[in-house]
Order: sequence, then structure tokens, then C-alpha cells
Amino acid sequence: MLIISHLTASYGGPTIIKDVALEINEKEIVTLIGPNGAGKSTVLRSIFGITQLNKNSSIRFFDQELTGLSTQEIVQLGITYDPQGRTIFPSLTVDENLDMGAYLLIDSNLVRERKDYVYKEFPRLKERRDQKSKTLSGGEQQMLAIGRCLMLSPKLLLLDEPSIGLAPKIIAEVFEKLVQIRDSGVSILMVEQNATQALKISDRAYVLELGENRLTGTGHELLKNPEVKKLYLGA
Amino acid sequence: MDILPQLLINGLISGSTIALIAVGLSLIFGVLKFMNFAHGEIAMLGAYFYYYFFITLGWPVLPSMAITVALCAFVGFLFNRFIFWPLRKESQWTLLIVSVGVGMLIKNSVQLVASGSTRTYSQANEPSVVHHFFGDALIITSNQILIIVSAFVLMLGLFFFLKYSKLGKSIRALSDNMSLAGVVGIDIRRSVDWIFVLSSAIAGFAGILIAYEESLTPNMGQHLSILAFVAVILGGLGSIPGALVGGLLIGLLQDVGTGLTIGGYSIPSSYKSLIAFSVLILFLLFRPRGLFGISLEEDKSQKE
Ligand SMILES: Nc1ncnc2c1ncn2[C@@H]1O[C@H](COP(=O)(O)OP(=O)(O)O)[C@@H](O)[C@H]1O
Ligand SMILES: [Mg+2]
Repeated sequence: MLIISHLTASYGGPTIIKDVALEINEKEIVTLIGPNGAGKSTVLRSIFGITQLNKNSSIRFFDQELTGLSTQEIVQLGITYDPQGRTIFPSLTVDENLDMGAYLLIDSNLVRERKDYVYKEFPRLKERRDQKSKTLSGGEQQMLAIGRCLMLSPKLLLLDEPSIGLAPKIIAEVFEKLVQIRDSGVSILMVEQNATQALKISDRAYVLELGENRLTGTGHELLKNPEVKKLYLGA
Repeated sequence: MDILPQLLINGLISGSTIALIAVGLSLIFGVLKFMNFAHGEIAMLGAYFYYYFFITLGWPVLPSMAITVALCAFVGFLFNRFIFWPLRKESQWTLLIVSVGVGMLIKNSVQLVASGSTRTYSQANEPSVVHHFFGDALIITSNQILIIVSAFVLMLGLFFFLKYSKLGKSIRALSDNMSLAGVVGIDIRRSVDWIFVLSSAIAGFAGILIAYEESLTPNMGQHLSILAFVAVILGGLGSIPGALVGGLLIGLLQDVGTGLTIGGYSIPSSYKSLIAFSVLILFLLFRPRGLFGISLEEDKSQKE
């Protein structure tokens, strides 16, 4: 559904990623791993049109070329994005955070429907719906960020380090949720530092190094790959 | 003590107008993270525009108010589009200095056109009806009642707008996390335009209210910017209710502080500003986060 080819991007200065190719099929979890500064986040930002792309870069979503589209247009096509870092609106309530996820949705009945769905998937968010989101625990905040991304019933979800700063038990919960989301028909492209756990739930994965493709394979293949083991799995 | 009710009412009148300006200052700070010292000048402009339509041209009250508010909103929009928005990535200090410059530009333009003389609405206007309460302990004019009522209605309206409307929620989201707001599809430039339009319209209206009570001078804007700044610090950065409460408190403290005689001592009313600044300094020293918010130092919210 998403085919990235010859992706070369910068932030106006030096080239950060060079000639990257990547493919995501329907109902797949694809993980991007690699050392800090490899350009993983830059790949996601490029899909969302917030970097400067080289002319040859192509990002095709079904039959639509995404390069040159505005954020609004990309979101409308069915891609939502949870960037790296603290990705909630802290002074807004849980409910209002979900409203913001549906900002581009005009039909208020549809917003209510989507919200019911997210609350059904994340009962703990429902319990806290009128609380300011900054009062939530780290795990709950991450669930809220994912819930916010689901408000537009996207076809593809981009997640940048969803497990960062969470306890192992909570990470397992988050990843389990991602598997459920995938099984419900949403593809996921995520960036992860936590390679072992991420590869276990990934259908396929890519290793990025110094802004270039290094390796690719199924999650299990990469888990067993001696190079990956040595560099990223601490073995 | 007999005069206390009167002082409270006077304080409420000036406080509610300061609050209206402070809330705009706070909204603008929320998104562009700088103190806009041109904001009080918009209120001054409002007072002069209204003078022109209502007194000079003799238009009725409501059309004069409507066009004044619209013009102020438009001026705010222009300053954002052509000055503040293009400079949004600069440091907050650059923006602050620029806003002081913009303020001078507005002030000097008015001085040039209105030739700097002092004006009052009452010169051309019959005095409004006077009401007496508690014997003569509290004297309040119809105009003053209207000022307080309309200021409070406006504050309440703004509160509901920010709390429940889609644009209101997106404005709060924008102040919380601008890059995330962009990612969910909020049109940031358009929302910031709206914030300037809204804040400037409210400041223009506050200017009209102020001019019913005080005489007009081109210098009034600077003074109002500073009072609104004190109100925002007092209420706490980033807190809209804080800005409202801070504005009301400053007004009350000034009027009550200079009006009361305690044990033969009193502060002359020409020292009103002294009270505002003492409060500012005390808060910065002992409670920099204000009543409800965060302090300038704690404000780690990132620019876009
Ligand atoms: N906004 C930015 N402006 C300029 N350079 C950036 C920006 N964001 C990241 N970089 C640079 O791009 C490189 C890759 O960053 P990033 O994509 O965040 O890596 P990763 O997510 O793999 O850790 C780094 O060298 C980083 O310094
Ligand atoms: Mg990263």
C-alpha cells in the first residue's frame, strides 16, 4: 500500500537520508530499527511532508503520490502519525485529545462513533476521559496517543518509538494492542529502539544505518541475524 | 470604610477592562511564546476609532462599536501576518523588542493624526444616569454598570468558546504542542490569525469601555500593555482564567490601595502604577508561577 523509493531528504542542510527504499503491505507491522541518528524519524517525517525531499524521491500510497501534499491532505488520505516524544496535548482532557485526533472530521456523529470505538479498545481512557491528559501515567499517555491516531480510522499508522520511557510490562501491553490494531486491518510502520520486543511482533523490518538501507527481512529472520544480534539485540 | 464599596466598584471597572486585554496577551503568548507589548496599543486604537465614529461622525452606539471592533481585529490580523508570523521562529526576546517597536508605531501614528491632545467622551456626550446605593455610599452610573456587565459577558463568552468550540479547543491544543497540532491537521497559520483577530477585537472593545471612564491620550496604550503584562504574570503564564483573575485583582488593588486611608496614611492616586509594579515584583520574587500557571523559567514549551 505504501511504496517508498529513492527517498533522499534533508532539513535544508546536509542530506540526512539517502536513496531509502521501503514497502508496507496491507495488514502488516513493519519496523524500522537502527542506531541513534540513523535517520529513522526522518523517514516518518518525510512521509508526512515535513522535510525537504530530493526530486527523485517517491512516496506512493496506493495510487497517490504523497510528495508535495500538505499535512491535511495526507491525513485525509488515511495516514496518521504519532511523532517521537511527548505526543499528547497535556492541558487538554483525554476526551479533548481524541477530539483533536478527529480535527479534520466534520461529521460530529462520526466523531462520536470513532470515540466510542477508541474507548471500547482502551477502557482505561474512558475511565479518565474528563481528566487532563498530563495526569495520566506514561503507558496511558502512549495509549492515548495511539487512540488519537485511530480517530480517523486510518489505513496506515506511523509510530515513532511508541515504547520509549515505558516499563517492560507496559511495553508488552502496548505492543499487544498494536497486534490487535493490525489484525483489525490497519497497517503500522513504526520506529523502535527496543528492537527485540519490536521484531517479535513485526511482520517485516528494515535496518537503517547512516541514512541508508542496511538490511531487511521478516521479524524472525532479523531476530536470528547474527549482525543484528550483535548490534541491536545486545547479544 | 464607608468608601470601600465605591472603591471595589471602581476597581472592578478598571480591573475588568485590564482583564480583557490580559486575556488576549495570554492567548498570543500561548502560541507564539512572546509578550506582545503592542497589544495595549490596540485598546488605545479602539478608544480613538470609537471617538471618531461615535463623537466626530455622530454615528449611533452599536454601529460605532461594531466598526471599531472590526477595525481593531483587522489591525491585529495585519500585524500578525506581516510582522509577528514571519518572525515566529526568532527568539522571544526579538519578538518582544519588535512588539515594543510596533507599539510605538501605532502610538506615534495616532499622535500624528489626533495631534496628541487629550479627549473625553463626556465633552460631547450628556452625562449618563447616576444610581445611588446605600444612601450615597455607592454611586454608579448606567455606563459603569454596562461596562461591568459587558466585560463579564464577554469573558464568559470567551470561556465557553475556548472550552467547547472546535476552534477554541484547537487554540488550546496549539498552545500545548504546536508541532503535534500540525500533525493532526490543524492549520496553524490560520489558527494564529484567528487568535490575533479575536484578541485584538476584545482589546478594541476594552478600549471603548476604558474611554467611557477615562480621558483619551495616545500614551494610554503603553500603560495598558504593562498592566496587562502584570495581570498575566500575576495570574500565571499560560493560564487564561489566570489572566482574567489577574486583571481583576490588579484593578481592585490599584483602586482600593490608593483610596483607603488607614491610620491617617494613604497612597495618592497618582501612585496607582506603583501598586501594580510592587505586585509584579513581589510575585516575580516570591511566586513566579503566579496564581495558576507556570513561570517564565518553567515555560519549556517548544516553539514549532
Ligand atoms: N529538525 C532537524 N533539523 C536539522 N537536523 C535534524 C533535525 N532532526 C534531526 N536532524 C538530524 O538528522 C539526523 C537523523 O535524525 P533522526 O531522523 O531523528 O534519527 P533517528 O530517529 O534515527 O534517531 C541526525 O543527525 C539529526 O541531528
Ligand atoms: Mg528518532
